[in-house]
Amino acid sequence: MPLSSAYLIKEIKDSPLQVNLLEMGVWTGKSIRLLHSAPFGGSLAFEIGENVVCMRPLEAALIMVEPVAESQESSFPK
Amino acid sequence: MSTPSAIAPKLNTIAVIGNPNVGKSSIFNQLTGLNQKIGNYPGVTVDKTIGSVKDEANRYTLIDLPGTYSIFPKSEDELVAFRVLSGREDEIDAVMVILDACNLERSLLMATQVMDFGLPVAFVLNMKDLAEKNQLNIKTHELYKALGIPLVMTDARGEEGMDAVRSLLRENRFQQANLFIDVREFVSPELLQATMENFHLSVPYQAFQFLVFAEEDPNLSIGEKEWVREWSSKFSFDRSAAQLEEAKRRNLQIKNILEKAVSKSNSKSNSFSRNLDKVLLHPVFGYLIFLGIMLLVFQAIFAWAEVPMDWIDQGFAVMTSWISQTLPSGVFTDFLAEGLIPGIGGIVIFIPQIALLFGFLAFLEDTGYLSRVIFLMDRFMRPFGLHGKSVVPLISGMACAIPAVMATRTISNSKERLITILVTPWMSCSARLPIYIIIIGLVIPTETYLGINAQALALLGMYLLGTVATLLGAFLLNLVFEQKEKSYLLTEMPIYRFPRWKAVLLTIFGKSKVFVLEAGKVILSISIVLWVLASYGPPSAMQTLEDEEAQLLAKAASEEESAEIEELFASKKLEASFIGIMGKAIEPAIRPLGYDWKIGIALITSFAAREVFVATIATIYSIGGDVDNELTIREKLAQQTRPESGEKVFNLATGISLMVFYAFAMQCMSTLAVVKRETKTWKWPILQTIVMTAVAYLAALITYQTLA
Repeated sequence: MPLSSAYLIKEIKDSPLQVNLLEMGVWTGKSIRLLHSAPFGGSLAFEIGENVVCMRPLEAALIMVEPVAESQESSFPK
Repeated sequence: MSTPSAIAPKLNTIAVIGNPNVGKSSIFNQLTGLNQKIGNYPGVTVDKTIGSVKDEANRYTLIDLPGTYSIFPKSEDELVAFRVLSGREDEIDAVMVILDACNLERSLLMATQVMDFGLPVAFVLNMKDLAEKNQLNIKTHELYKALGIPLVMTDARGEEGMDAVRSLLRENRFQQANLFIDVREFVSPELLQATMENFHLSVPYQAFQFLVFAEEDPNLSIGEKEWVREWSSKFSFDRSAAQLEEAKRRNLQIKNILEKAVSKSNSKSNSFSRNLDKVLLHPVFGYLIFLGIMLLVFQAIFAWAEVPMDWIDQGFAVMTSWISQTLPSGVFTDFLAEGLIPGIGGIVIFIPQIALLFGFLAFLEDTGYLSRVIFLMDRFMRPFGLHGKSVVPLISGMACAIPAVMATRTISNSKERLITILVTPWMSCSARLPIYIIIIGLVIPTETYLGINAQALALLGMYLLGTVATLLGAFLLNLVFEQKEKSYLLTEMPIYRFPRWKAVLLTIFGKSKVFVLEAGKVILSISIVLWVLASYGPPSAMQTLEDEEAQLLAKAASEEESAEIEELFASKKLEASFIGIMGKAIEPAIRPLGYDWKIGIALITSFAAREVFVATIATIYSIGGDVDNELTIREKLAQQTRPESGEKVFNLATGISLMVFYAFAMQCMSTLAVVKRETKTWKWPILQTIVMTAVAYLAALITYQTLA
């Protein structure tokens, strides 16, 4: 995922962390955008909906995304 | 299921619950002020914070539950929330849920869980000012209609709306909710019914949560857990699938409600935070700024704390001398002046460091910076079995392990937290510095290598040794400990905001109080024991010394001469005391490290605190005079020779071996007391002492044998 482009969360893979992701507001259908990544494969900071959530690449790999069409990007579904 | 009661019953105990970063503690602080107590929940390490509020008519007890995102088993925090809400701890009459007005979707996940527990509930929507700034329009009436729960709105600063919260309590407007979701739709009602009956639970949702939490609850007996396992498999109840189903159902309903209740006119948000993050999370500048901030914190605990610590030190010295001069001399006065008062002083002296570190931490946490540190540092801590959250405790350990161990609270993974607690004492704390300085001055020549002072290099080497040992220790412990829970990183990065000073001050006050009351007991007891051992010995030997001293003093011509005699006998008495006997007893064991029995005595006394080494060495070599004058001590020590061979006691091999010993040994009862308090068991501090002492012994042995 390149920095700063908007995606939609398509699916969250089955894992023991699924509930943890849900309670942080990581839901199917939400907008997601990579804001920062720490060097040497370190943490990633995503904007998910209105929040910024920090996770390791391993946790991020659970989130399946699809690109958003340019027209949809500006209006996040609430 | 639940019928709202017509007459409001009298409120006594109210639980306060909310997501992290939602301002729950600040509302709790606003309501209770300094009327807070910290207690324990059975079986877990989570602190129980209880506060009381008084109004004209009533007195309420508020229980501040730990900040969690949901009531699903994740850490002890959620377990405590579950136990309190299902009435398995104290009886509670109502629950106040703090919600984030900017983040209602997420806040409502837990809030609706609380509703289903069946207790009367009220909602406090905090941060309404931020919601307004983000142009969120919250129709509170719609929310009330949809949830059936009274709600009040408050300001993030916690001033506006607090009266409404107080009247909520006074008028007891807490209301029992209708079921938000019915777990019986996806979990066998028969299983839930059986669980309710068997464990005396009042509503099906409590039974559901009981089944979900049973494995994690240390307060359940093996038989009870067995029952849960048996019945769960009988009804093919899969707890993780059930939690997921619950979360999905809740979220679907929450989305529907929020579509009606919240409208957003503009989605431009928090540009200030986003821009600041571009600098603070930058791959280069981010780390430089973090380094700068840590240097500042380090400087504060290291240097600024010294001023108040000196005052405390002098204050207690004045008190001691006043007591010994004023009270009639005798055993009791000695006990007060040499045992009890210095013992208390030894506890109080740490308060400035604890206060400063926690002041900084509370400040950084409140501004939202601490979660950025986790982002920056997690990658570098992972190879050692540590977490991004271990960084701050470890760096603080370079000043003092006590506040550092207390700061491990934020690490939620129990294995990572334990490893951090166990290795932190290997970071070179400030109490080791006086020892290093004296010994380096004795044994390292003042030459320069490549333009760098050899003594400075040696000191740097000792600090590096500590850091390397800490990381290596963590790496090894990571291999030894089995992983109970999978390590993961999933943390919110809240928007930056100005810290609330009151919250910062209350944290400082709370942490200092916990240290003095909890760790203080252990420190005081050990220092009194050490004092007794150092002041008393076998009566006959001590009496002979007293008589000799009295005879010589009677003959002394000048004041100088009698002072010299007193110094000499102080040394002789220490030698004859129980500690002196112990020092001699361990001599065979420490001889291979290059130490004599005098150093042995200092090793034992400095168990109270490392810096005591200097004072003991000064007494035992009867240096006397101004103990703080390092030059005097150094000159005297440099002249010490071994009686049998005539060579210097403090040669290079002994000196370095001694520094290595101090670098590794667990010679700080205050740290042990804090580790006991943070792990709630004596197992870890005892193991820590044994392992660290063994490593120290071996390392010092190898050092001496190689160099000698």
